[in-house]
Amino acid sequence: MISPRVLILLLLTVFGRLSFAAEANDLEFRDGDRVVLLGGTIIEREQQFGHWETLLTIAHADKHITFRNLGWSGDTVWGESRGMFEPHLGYQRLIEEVTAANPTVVLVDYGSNEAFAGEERLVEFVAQYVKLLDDLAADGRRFILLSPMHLEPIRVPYDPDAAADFVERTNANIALYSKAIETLALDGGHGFVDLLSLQSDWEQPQRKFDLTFNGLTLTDQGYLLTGRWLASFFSPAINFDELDVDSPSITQLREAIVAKNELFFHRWRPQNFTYLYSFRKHEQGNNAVEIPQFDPLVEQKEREIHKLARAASEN
Amino acid sequence: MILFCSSANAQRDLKDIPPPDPELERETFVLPEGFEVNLFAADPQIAKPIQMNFDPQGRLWVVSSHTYPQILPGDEANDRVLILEDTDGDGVSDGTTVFADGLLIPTGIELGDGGAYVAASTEMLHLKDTNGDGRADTRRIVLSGFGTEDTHHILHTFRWGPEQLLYMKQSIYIHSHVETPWGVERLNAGGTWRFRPENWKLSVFDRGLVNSWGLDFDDYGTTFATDGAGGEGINYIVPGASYLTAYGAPRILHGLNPGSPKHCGLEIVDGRHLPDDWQGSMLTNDFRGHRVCRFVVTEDGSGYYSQEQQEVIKSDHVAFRPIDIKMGPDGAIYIADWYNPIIQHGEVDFRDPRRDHTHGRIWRVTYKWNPLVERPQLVDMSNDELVAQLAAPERWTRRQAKRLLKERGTDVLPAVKRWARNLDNSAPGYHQRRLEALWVYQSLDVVEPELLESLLTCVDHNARAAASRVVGDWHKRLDAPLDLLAPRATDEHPRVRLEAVRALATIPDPHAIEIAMTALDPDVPPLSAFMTAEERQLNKPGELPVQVDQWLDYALWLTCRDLEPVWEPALLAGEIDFGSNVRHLTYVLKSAGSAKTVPVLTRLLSEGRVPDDQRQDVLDVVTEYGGPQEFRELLELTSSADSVEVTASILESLLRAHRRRKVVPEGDHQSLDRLLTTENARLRSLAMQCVGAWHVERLWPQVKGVAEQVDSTPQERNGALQGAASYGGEEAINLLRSLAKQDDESALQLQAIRLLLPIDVTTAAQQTVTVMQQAKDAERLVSLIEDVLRQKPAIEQLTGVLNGQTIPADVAVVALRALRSSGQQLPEFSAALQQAGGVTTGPKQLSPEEMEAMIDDVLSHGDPAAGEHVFRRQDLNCIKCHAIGGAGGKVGPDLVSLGATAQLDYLINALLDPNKQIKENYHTQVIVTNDGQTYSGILVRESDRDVLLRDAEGREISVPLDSIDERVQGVSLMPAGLTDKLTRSELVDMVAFLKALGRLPEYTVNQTPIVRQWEMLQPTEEAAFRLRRVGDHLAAEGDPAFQWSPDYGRVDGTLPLDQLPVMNVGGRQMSFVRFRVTVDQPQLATTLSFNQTRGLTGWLNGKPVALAEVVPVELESGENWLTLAVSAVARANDLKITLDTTTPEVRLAP
Repeated sequence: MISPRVLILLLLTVFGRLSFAAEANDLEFRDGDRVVLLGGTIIEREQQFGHWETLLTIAHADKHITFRNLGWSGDTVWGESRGMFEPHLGYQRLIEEVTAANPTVVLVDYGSNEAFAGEERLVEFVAQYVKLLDDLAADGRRFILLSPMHLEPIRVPYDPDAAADFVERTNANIALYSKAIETLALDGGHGFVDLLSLQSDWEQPQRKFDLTFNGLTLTDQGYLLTGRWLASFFSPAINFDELDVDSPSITQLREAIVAKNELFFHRWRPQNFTYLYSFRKHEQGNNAVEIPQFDPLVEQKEREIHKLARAASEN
Repeated sequence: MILFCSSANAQRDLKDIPPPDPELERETFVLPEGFEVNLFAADPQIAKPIQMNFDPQGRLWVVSSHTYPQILPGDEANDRVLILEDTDGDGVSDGTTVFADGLLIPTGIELGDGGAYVAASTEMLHLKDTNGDGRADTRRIVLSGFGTEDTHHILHTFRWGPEQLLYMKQSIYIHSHVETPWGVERLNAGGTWRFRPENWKLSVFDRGLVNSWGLDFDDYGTTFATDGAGGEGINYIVPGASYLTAYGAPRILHGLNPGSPKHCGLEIVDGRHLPDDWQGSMLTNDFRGHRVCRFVVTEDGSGYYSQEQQEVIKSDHVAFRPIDIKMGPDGAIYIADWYNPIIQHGEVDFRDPRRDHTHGRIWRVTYKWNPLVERPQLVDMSNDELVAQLAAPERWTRRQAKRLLKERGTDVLPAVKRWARNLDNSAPGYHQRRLEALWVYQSLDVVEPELLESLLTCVDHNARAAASRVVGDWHKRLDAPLDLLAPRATDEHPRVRLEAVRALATIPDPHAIEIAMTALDPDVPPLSAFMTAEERQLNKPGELPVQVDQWLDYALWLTCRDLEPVWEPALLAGEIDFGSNVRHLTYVLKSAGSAKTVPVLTRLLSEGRVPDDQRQDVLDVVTEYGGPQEFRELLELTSSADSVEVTASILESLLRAHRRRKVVPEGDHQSLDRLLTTENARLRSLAMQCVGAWHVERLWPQVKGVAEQVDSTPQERNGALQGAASYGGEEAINLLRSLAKQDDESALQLQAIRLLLPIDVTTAAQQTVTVMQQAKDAERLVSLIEDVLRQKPAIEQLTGVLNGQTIPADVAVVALRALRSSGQQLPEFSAALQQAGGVTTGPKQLSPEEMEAMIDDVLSHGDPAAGEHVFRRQDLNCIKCHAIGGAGGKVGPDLVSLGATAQLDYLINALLDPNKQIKENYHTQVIVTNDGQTYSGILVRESDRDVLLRDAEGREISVPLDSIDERVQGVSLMPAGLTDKLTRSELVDMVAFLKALGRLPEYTVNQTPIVRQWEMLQPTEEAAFRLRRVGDHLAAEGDPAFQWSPDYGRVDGTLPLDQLPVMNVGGRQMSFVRFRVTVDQPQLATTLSFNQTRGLTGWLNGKPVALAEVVPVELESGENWLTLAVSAVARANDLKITLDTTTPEVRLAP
C-alpha cells in the first residue's frame, strides 16, 4: 500500500496545492475570531454539552471570540447529511453554510463516518477532504483538523467477542484515516488535534467513568475530557484539569453557551425547512420572516457569554 | 383539487369555532349500540396530546406540544411529557404529573429500561427518574440525526414490537442520518426504524407511506400500519417492503382500503370487556372526518383483506381530532383527542389565530354489557406468575408482561421454559403462546433453536410464518438456517412462504435465492407428517391453493433484489443453477433487471426455454438493458419464432427500445428481408418501421414503394410512413410532404403531418393550420395537437403561423383543452389559439366583496345535491380526474373528505384559479428529453432509472432518467376557465357540494360494499341497431359495435337515472349499464341487494338472472359481470346495488 504521506503528496500535486505555502501551525485564537465547528454527531452534540466551547471561551476570555456549531449528524466530507430533498446538493449546502457564517477559523472533524468504508475508500476520502478545504479557503481563514476518535469497547450482552473484533477492525481503519488527516494537515499548513492519542494515553483501568455511551458517542464526562485535551492544544500554559467546571460561574457560562447554541440552531437549521425554504414555500414561506429574528437573540446571548467568561476567568 | 390559505380570509370561519366545554364535545359523539364514552382527562391538566402509551403499572404517559408547529423566536421550547393515573379505577384520571418539560415538539413516547424513550425533534431521548420523585432527572440522547423538515413528519409513533425491539416511524419529508457504533444509518423519506437499545443496532424495517402515525402487530407479529396522509386505510407491512412515496423505490405495495380517508394511530383490540365481534379489530382515527374507525381484517392469500365497520365514534364537532388510540389496563379503549379546529401547518399559516395550543382530551370508550377487566398487578408478580400472563385474555396484559420479563433479564428464562413446556397442547392458542415464549427469548437476545424449530413445523400457519421471521433475525447464530427455511418456502400457506422468502433475503448465501424461488412452485406438498388425522381432514390438499398473489410476488421480487450482490456472481460463476428450473431463473433475472443478466436471458430465449407467459417480461428486461449484440440475437430469433405473436412482440420490443435508448441491433438485419415479404400485414408494418428506425439503406426502396402505393392497406401504409419518418433524408421527407399536402383530411394526411413535425416543422405547422381551417370534425385533430404540444419547436412554429389566421371556434376549443390537459403554461400559444378561434377563457379573481357575497350565497342557498349533479356533468370532466372515496379518476386528489378540511374561500378560489396555489404533489412536471420530446403529467414515482408520470387522461408514462434534458414544474392539470361553463348558481351549488364532502353524513362515503364503479354502453346508432336486431341480451354478451365508458355512482352510492346515456332501441328508450365483481376463490354464493328492481332486466355473466330486492347469485372465480338493461320509461328510481361481501375473496371496484 502507498503510505498516506506519499498519497497526500500525490493528491496535493494533482490538486495544485503544493505551491500553497504551509503557514506556521500556531493553534491559537486571535481577537475577533469567528470559529465554526464543522463535522458529524460529535460536533452536533457538543452544542448541547458545551464543554469544548466553555473551556475554549474561558481560556480566551480576554479576546472576543464567537463560535458557530454547524455539526450535522452522519455528515461526511461529501456533505452527505445536508442535502435533504436534494441529496446531490449536500456538499454545496455545506459550503454555503460555512460561507454564511463567515468564519476566520474552521475546526473540522470529519473521518469517523467515512472510516467505516475502510482502506479501499481512503484515497477518495482524502481527495474530497482536500477539495473541501480548497473550496472553503478564504483570505486569512485558518483550518484546524481534528482526528476521528477510536471506538471504545461496545458492550453488548450477546457475543462480546464479535463486537470486540468489530471495534478492532474499525479502529485500524480509524487510525489509517486519522494518519491521512494528520498528513493532510501538515502538508496544507493546517492545525491538527489528535484525539486518538488522548484515548491511548488514557488507559482503561484508570477510568472512573465512560468516555462514550455506546463505544461511539461521548458522554458528558467524555466531552469534558476531550474538551480539556482540545483546549490544552490552544493554551498549553493552563492546567484545565484544575479548573472547577462545576463552579457556579463556569456552570452559568456553560448554560449561556448551550442556550446560545440552541438559538443559533433554530436560526441555521430551523424545523419545517420544507415550508420555510423548500418546495412548499409558496404555501407557508411567509413564516420564514421569523427566522432572522433569532439573530439579535443570539447576539444578545453572546454579549452575556463574554461577560460571564470574563467573570469566570477572574475567579 | 387545490387548497390554499389566504390570510385575508383566514378569520372567516372563526364564528364556527365551538366553545371548548368537553361535555358539549361529548354530546356530539355517536357510538355503536351498547358503547359509552367518558372523559378520562382534559385541559387544563393536559393539552395537545400527540402520542400516548401505558406503562406496566397502568399509568398513561402522554407527549404533548404547545410549541407545534414552529418555535417562535424568543419563546422557550417547553413541551412536556405527562403521566396520567387513575388510582381509584373509576375511569377518570386523578392526577397529572409533569414527568419532563423543556422539550421541543415531542412526538413519540414508549416506556422501558427504567424510563421513557421520547422522540424530540432531531433526537431520540431516554428520560429517567432516578430519585423517585416522579420527575425525570437524567436525560440521555440515545440517537440523533433525525430530520426536521416538517414538524408533523419528525420521528414519531414509538411501539415495542413483539420481540421487544423498538419500532419508530418518520414521514415523507424527513431525511435522517444517524450515527451508531456499527456505522451510519440513513433513511430518506418515510419509513419505520427498528432498534435494539442494548446493542445500538438500528435498521430500516419498511419504507414509504406519506405520513404514517399508526403501527401495530397482531398476535402473531404480523405488521400493520395506517397513514395520516395517504388514502389506503390499513396497510399490511411486508418486512423490508416499500409503500406509497418510498424514496427511489421502483415498485411498491398498496394498502388494503384504497379510497379511504386518512387515518392516524392504530390499535388492534381484544379482551373480555369488548364484544366477541370486536376481537382482533383494528381501530384507527379519521381525524379529518372526526371519526374513530373500526376495520375487520381477515386473511387473504399471502396478505389480508380489510373491511370497514360502523365507527367507534362519529362526531360533527369541528375540533374533535382523535389521533392516538390505545387499549387500557381495564380493557377499555382510550383515545387521544388533539382538539383543534385547525389541523396541520402546510396549508394553514403557522400563526393562524384559530390554531389551538391549549386544549386536549383523553376519551375512554367502554361497553356497557360487559364488566371491565380487573387491572392486573404485574410489577409485583413472581417470574412464574408473570410468565403465565403471556396467556392472558387481554393483549394489554400480554404485552406489558412480556415487557417486564424482558426488563428482568435472562433470569426469567427458566420460568419461561417451564411454562412453555407445560402448556396444554389441546387448548386453543397453544402455538401462539409458545410463540410468545420464543419472543421472550428473542427479546433477551438468547437463541432457542428447539422451540424455534418446533414452531416452524407446527400446525398453526400463523406461528410458522412468525417463526420464519425469527429465523431471519437469528440466522447468523443458527446452524442451518437455510434448511429451516426451505420447507417453509413451499409451505401450504402462502403467507408462510412470504415470510420465509423475506427471511431468506437476510442470508447472504447464494443458495438462499434458489430456495426462495421454490415459493413460485404451485404444487401443494404432501401433508405434513406432524398433522393428526383430524388436521389432515381439515387441511386437504387443494383447499389452500397457493397462488403467487401480489404480496408473495412482491416479496419474491424484493428478495431477488436484496440478494442480487450475492447470487449474481455465483450465477455467472456457475455455482448456482436453480436446478435448471427456467421459471425460477427467469423470475430472478427479470426481477433484478441488470445488464449482466441479459446474455443469460437471450440464451434462454434462443433455446426456446422461456415459458409463454413469461416471454414479454423477459423481452422487456433484454430490451431495457441489452446492447446491439443481444438485439441482434433477438432479431434473429424471429426466423425461428413459431407464431406471429412472438415475432410481433420481439419487433415491438426492439422498436420501443430504440425509441427509449437508440440501440440498433448489430449486423446487416437479414431477418428484415423475409419479414418485409411475409404474409402478415402487421409484421410487414413493424418490419418497415424497423427499416426506418435502424436506417437500413438496402431495404429503404421497398418501404418507399409501399408508402407511395395508393392501394396498400392503411395499416401497411401507416407502417411505411413511420418507417420513412424515422429513416429521414430528402427522399423520405419529400414523400411525407406530398402526403401532408394532399388536402383530403384523411387519416393518412394527418399521420403524415404528425410525422413531419420533428423533421420539417415549417411544412408541418403550415399544414396543421390548413387542416385546422378546413376541419369538419374538430375532435379528429386532437392527437395531432397533442403531438404538437410534445415538441417545443412545433409549438413555436404553429404559434407563428396562426398569427392573423382564422380557425373555427370548435377547433380552438379542442386545442385549448389539449393544452390544458398537457399541464404546460404556454401563454403565447394559448393567445394565438384564442385569437384565431375568437374564444376567451382563463382564471378569475374575486374581489374581497365578491368573495364575501359568494360565500354568503353558498351558506344561504347552496344546494349540495344540485352541486353533485353539476360535479357529475360530462362537459366538466370532474370525475375523470377526481375520485371520491376511490370511485373516479386518479389524476387529481381524492376528494373524499375535502369538506371536512377545506374552507369555503379556499374552495372557491381553487375552482376559479387553480394555478394560484396548487396542492403539493399535484404540480405537473414538464419533461423535455434529449431528443426534444416533451412529456407532462403528475409525478407518480421516481426510481433510479425512470420517472413515472400520470397525464390528464390517467395514463402512466415512463421516461428514462438519463434521457431527460430539462425538467420544470408546470401548472395544475386542473383546467383554468372551467367555471366558464357554469352559471353562478351552479358554481354556488358545486361549492356547497364540495364543502359537504366528508362533513355531512349523506356526503360521506359509506363503507358498505355498494357498486360504485359502472360502465355505460355508449348510445351509438350502430349499437342501437345491433340491439334491435339481436335483442337486449346482446348487451350482456358483447359485440364489436359496443363501446363501454366508465362512470361512477353518487357519493351516497346511487347511480342517477337522469344521467344515464339513453338510446332508442326500436322505439324503446333504453340504457345499458354493467359492473364487475372479482372473486378470488373457486366459486361463491352470495346475494345482491337492489333498492328497487322496476324497469330492470339483468344478466350475470351473460345468463339471465331473476331480479328481486335480494338476489342470490353464484359467482365464479375471477371477473363476474352483471349487466342491466334499464327502461327509462318504466323506472323512476335511481339505481343502488349492494353486495353482501363479508368474505374477503370478493371485491367490487371501489
